[in-house]
Amino acid sequence: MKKKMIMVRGILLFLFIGLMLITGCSGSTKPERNGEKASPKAEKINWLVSSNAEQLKGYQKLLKKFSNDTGIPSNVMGVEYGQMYPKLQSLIAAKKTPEINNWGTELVPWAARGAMTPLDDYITKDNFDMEQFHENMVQSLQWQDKQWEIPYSMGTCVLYYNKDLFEKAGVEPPPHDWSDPSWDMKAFLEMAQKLTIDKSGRDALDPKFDPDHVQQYGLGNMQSWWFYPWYFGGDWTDQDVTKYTGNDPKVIEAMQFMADLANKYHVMPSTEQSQALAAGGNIFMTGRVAMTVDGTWSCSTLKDARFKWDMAATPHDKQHSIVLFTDGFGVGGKSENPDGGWEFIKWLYSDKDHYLELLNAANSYMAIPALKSAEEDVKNVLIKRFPDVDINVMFEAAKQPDARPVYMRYHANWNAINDLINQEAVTPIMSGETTAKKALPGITDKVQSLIDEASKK
Amino acid sequence: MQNDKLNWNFTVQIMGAKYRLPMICNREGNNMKQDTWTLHKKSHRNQMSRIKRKEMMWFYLLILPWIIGFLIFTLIPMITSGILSFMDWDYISSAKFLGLKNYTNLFHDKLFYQSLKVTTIYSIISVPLSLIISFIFALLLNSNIRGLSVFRTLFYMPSLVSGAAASILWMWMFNPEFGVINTILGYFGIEGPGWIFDKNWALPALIIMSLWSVGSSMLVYLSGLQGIPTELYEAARIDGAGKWVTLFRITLPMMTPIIFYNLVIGIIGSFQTFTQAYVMTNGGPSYSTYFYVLYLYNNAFQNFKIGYASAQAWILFFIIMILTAFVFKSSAAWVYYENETKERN
Repeated sequence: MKKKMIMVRGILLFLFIGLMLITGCSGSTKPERNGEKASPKAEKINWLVSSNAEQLKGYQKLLKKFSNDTGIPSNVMGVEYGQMYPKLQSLIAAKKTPEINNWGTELVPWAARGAMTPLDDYITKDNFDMEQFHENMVQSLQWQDKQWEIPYSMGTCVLYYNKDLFEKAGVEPPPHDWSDPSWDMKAFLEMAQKLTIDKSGRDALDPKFDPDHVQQYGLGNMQSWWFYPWYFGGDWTDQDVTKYTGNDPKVIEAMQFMADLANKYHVMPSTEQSQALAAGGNIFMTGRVAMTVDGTWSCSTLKDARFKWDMAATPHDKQHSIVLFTDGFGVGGKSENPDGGWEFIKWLYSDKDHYLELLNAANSYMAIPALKSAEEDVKNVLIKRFPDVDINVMFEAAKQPDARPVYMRYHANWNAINDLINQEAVTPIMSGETTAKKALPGITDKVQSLIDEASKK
Repeated sequence: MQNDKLNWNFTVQIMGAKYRLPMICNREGNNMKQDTWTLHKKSHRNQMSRIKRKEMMWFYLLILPWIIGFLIFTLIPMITSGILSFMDWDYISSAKFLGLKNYTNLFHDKLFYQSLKVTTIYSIISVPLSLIISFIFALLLNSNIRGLSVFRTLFYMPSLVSGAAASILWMWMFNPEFGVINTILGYFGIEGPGWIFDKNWALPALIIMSLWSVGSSMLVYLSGLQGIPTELYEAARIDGAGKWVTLFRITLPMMTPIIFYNLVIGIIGSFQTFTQAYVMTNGGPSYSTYFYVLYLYNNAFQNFKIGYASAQAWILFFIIMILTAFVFKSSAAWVYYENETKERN
């Protein structure tokens, strides 16, 4: 009997402690609420955002203002860079979907699965002015005829060049004008060859050039393989991502050309060499490359360069290769207070000052603002910050009619598709292990079946 | 009084099988044959002494935190993932029952086989290699030299560095141009390979890296070496045995339980390799370091396939379980327990 009693007591105690632990885990960590004026009925909104400590402070300040103005309590959930999606997944799984999120052009895997709320009804209901934004940014946040996010800003890629190295080699700098007809791939390659210099000072056009001992590369990097086919008029998929077009001759030509830059012309380091050269940092910063294609977001790093640099247009052959990476604000699907989330977006664009304060908090001036009226304000900041850099190049890039987002990413399975093309085709092509002609058609069926898999659902 | 006492016999449970660690001998010696803790009962329950009941209460109380932790962080998640492995779930929409489809799909998945291949090659090479190297280190650090504790600390230290930090460190070491490894090879006129950037060298590079953290198994070996009775060595010396004979006839047989332990732990650990591949190579180049758990992670957290990833996890669990069971089965043939021999006598 007594033994039973002890057992019962033990089990009770166990349950008690267990319950305490469980309630301790879930309930007690209520984040601080901003906004003292909040009416008791108003539900709180949460904003999940990648940020460092300084940015987080800025965001909190901004939200406090929002709460004071609208009476809606708010909270910023800062998360380390690169940890945003895992965090969001666990929040969704725990049924604590944040009201506001910044998916940018990676929205489709989320939208397709119901993690986002389409904003069209809100836009119509409130007569929200979509004309105040750049049209291409608005479009790049649409999918299946719905508006999933309101644009915030946009980054793209430009050609950075080392002014000192150009002067030393006596080569004219690359054109800053996106519509210069002479700036084709041939001219680009020739410029890169002139600026690639071996141990004994010969450039890559010299017949005695020694490709095994390159001291200075004409080109550091061509950025992502997503944009390579564009130069030659091809693309990985059609615009609606229903068909893999990586076996198209234009894509094959483009991929082979990019691989040849490293393996045949030796004007660009191979993947291996460039990883080694950059050693975890930005390859352009080493001062050993004359030109590099890189995102506008890299300006903040390049600010500390020990040489003079500027930005120019990337070459265009059949067409431009200008990517639109649009950042935006979306509302979480199945979140508790989607209306509150929309209220925040509305409030943000109700006054230019709110928007500028956000830019300031994010310190994201190295991007093109979505709000047309803020363009001059941002330009003024940039001119002060980068007096020697022709920042107009960046603004002009976004205005080119063939600038586009990476269509491949507008697919629920895009991570798997991306991984497959990269591992099975792009990596061996770029390393020279195989040719584009062999590798790219070879994966057609596999990629196509990944594309079809999601559309079946 | 002897029978009245509560007997504790510590057991280590690995993958459900009970294994008695020889280092921790039970107080009762050889007459204890059961592996779990037992109460030696007297004829009447009611006569259980107060001390005994108190001890039992304390027993439950003290292991309570562990039980709660086990339930919340191990058992419940395991059951959940078992259920999810029969479902299609993407965190967001509600889960759909699929039956065995996740499992049958897996067996048609080429990447599943590739990741299994990478992981198996890695395990087959790195586990025995680390067993041997850590054993050699332990032998060397068991000798009587000056500054012994300093050396022990130095050799143990790398295993304290967390996976991600070690990975970043090794990325620098493997850097083809500036890396320490290729620089040293350069002194000998050898042009080092591209290591983690080269399809053929990436996996060997990760295997080499795995040897860096042999410190923890070395420590287990060391404690085992210290536990070998010195009489055995003295007797051998009197009989005129040389160093090698003592090593193979005394040290090695006496160490088999520890080798066995390190082998089991090593197999489990190597099949779960993730951090290096995630941080250093992301599975590349061309899937050459696409480890099983990396593929599992990508399915769960990038491709939103929680059910599929759960099925992968369970298959891995069974693979590890079968391997471990196999090692346990084989242990009768090569693992030597001092106690057992006595029992047999």
